[in-house]
Amino acid sequence: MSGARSDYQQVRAAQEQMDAERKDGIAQLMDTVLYTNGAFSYHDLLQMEPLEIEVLTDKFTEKIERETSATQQRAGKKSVKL
Amino acid sequence: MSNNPLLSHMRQETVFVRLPSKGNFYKDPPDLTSDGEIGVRAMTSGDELALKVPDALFNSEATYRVIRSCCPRIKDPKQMPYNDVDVVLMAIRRATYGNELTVPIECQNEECKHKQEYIKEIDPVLAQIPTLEDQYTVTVGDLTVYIRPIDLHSTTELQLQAVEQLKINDTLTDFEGSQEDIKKFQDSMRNIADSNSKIISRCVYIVEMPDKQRVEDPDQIQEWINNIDVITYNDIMKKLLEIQTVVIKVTVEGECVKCKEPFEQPIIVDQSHFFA
Repeated sequence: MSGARSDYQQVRAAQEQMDAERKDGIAQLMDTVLYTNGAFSYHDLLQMEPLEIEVLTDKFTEKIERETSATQQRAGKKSVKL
Repeated sequence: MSNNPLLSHMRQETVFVRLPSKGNFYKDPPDLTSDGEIGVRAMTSGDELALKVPDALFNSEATYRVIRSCCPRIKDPKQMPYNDVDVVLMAIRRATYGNELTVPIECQNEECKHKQEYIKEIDPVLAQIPTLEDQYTVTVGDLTVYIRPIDLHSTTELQLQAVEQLKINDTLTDFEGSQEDIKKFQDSMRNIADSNSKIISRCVYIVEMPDKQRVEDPDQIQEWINNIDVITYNDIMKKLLEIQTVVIKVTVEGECVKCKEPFEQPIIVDQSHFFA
């Protein structure tokens, strides 16, 4: 295999990896939109720092857990953490 | 920036660093703090995604965007002396992801080749920023040439030039002497020569003559650069490359946990991989 061909393949592989990482990043933001029930739009999230999104996700997870637990208590079920 | 009533609603600067240039050599100097530092904000998710576009990295548009977004005190990132770029990118990394930088290292011992991740702390690196002199001159015959470091714009051009060089190599590999081959070769050589001349012209900002008369007109300087001899060109280039070495040097040192082979690996602050 010639050097040029090998270089081309390395560049192509790096591009594909970067494309995949970008797609993952977009998917994570979309997940956040969905799991926050649309409270934040995709464009809102694009303006946030990664740390802010992490805190937001943690807070929403806590909120959903509290709501689930309250709903279960009202229905007479007991939520137990294993 | 400080007069804007929306200031409290913007992302906050969380890391402050000294620039190697101390703010010199910019056409529009950066807005430094009272103690001569520059404030840096964390990247947004949008900035992170911009760094995952290969073409935007290659032509540096992603780097310009991230610096504009995280370091608005720098008015035009293209004008940044290259010596400042690594420091600002490192500070952005610190502001976004914290003090620790994970570095994958493969043992150089052929029989071991153990792969492991090491942690490098960024704060000590940012506390030891090398500084450039306030002014650089080159004496060429009886002329004094004032030069500034190569800027980010020129560095991008050099990167594109390297690709042009590869094209020349490819042309030479398949060279059959046809008119088309000769034209391709000549075009590539001309592109490189034009680009070099532009880069040097951007770095020269004053030429002082023996009678102390100063030429500062970029067009006149460009015309002079286009007509200098190789020795003068090399003298200026040599000084520029010497200035280029004043950058933060980040290395990870230690020994392999498996075979105890010592290692010292430089970390390249390469935009295309650094933020990954």
